[in-house]
Amino acid sequence: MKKFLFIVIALCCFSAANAQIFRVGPTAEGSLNISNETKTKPGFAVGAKAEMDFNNMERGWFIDASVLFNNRNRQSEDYFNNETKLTQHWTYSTYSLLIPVNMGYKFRLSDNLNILAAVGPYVDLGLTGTDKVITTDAGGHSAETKVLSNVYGDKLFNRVNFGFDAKAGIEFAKHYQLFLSYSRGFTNLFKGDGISAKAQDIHVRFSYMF
Amino acid sequence: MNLVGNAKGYVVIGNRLVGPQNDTPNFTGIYMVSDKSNTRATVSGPIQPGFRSFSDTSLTIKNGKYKSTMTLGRIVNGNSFAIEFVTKKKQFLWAKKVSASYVLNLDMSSSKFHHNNNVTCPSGPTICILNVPIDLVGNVFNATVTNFKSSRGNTVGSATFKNIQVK
Repeated sequence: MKKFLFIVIALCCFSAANAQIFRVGPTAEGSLNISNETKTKPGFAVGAKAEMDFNNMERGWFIDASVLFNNRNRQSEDYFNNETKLTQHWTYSTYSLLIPVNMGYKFRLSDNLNILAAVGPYVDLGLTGTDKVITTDAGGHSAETKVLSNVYGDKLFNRVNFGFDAKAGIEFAKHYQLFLSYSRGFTNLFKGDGISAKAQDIHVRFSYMF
Repeated sequence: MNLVGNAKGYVVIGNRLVGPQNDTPNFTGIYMVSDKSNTRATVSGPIQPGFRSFSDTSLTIKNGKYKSTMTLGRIVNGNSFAIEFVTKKKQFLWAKKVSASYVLNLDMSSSKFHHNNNVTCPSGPTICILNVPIDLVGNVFNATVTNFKSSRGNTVGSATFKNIQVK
């Protein structure tokens, strides 16, 4: 009986190990910040992605995770001071380590084309970032002033942010993946109780899986 | 002679308690904005001022395809009243934000303050900081907006907002 159980377990492990396919590859994305309290600005991210297919590469459940060097650019609305007649806006350019982990499903359309959809959490670890204020006078002359050289170190931004990510895309020629995704943060971007602004982005991600 | 008063305006003069004859604000100055441009650098905080609107303090004017809205509120990182201006142009399926300049006359009054101001906001900015401290006006006030106009049409709007709660 013991031998039989051992053989069954060994067979299960063998078949499971065979069914799982693990792939890695480089990934790059362009993103658009659409969070409230800030204007729409583009950003980018580059890094590596790992994917595990539970059944086969063409259809079934999969899980993927990426580690991305992430740049986000945010710009405040323009504030006009009715007394000084100066217009000011703030720009925040941040660099962070973005780690999304998604679970999803692949649908096979043809030999060379699959549709994918996935959701999952992400964590965004702030590395560095600058804060500038641009002041324009009534004559249209602008002056740029760097206010902070590290928005995380100077405690303007929260260093650790969490959120969720939902994406849909296609996989073609078995190696290329193109995703359109939406992510939304659960944590406030800024420290303190003042402005409530949560990260919200649209991404276009392209990956090559070996 | 000793003068002893309280917040309601009563004062003790000798053996008598004397109250105000009229319940009128004791500050009725007219605050006017300088027309001259100020080019000196301001001390900027590291973070944008932010804007928080007050409830039921919006006024919208329609100019054909354009809808311009002003909303009374305050800046979050600072101590001043502010006005948010938004103009949207009706497109085929959605309304697109467009820039516009605005003018209006704002009258604010509370139990301890009366303020009248011509507000001019050039094209581009969406939030106009009035530089009127919150604590000077108090937590409840009335506001009257007259001659609200945007550069996207000739419609003029007016409205009165009563018992605005400062948040």
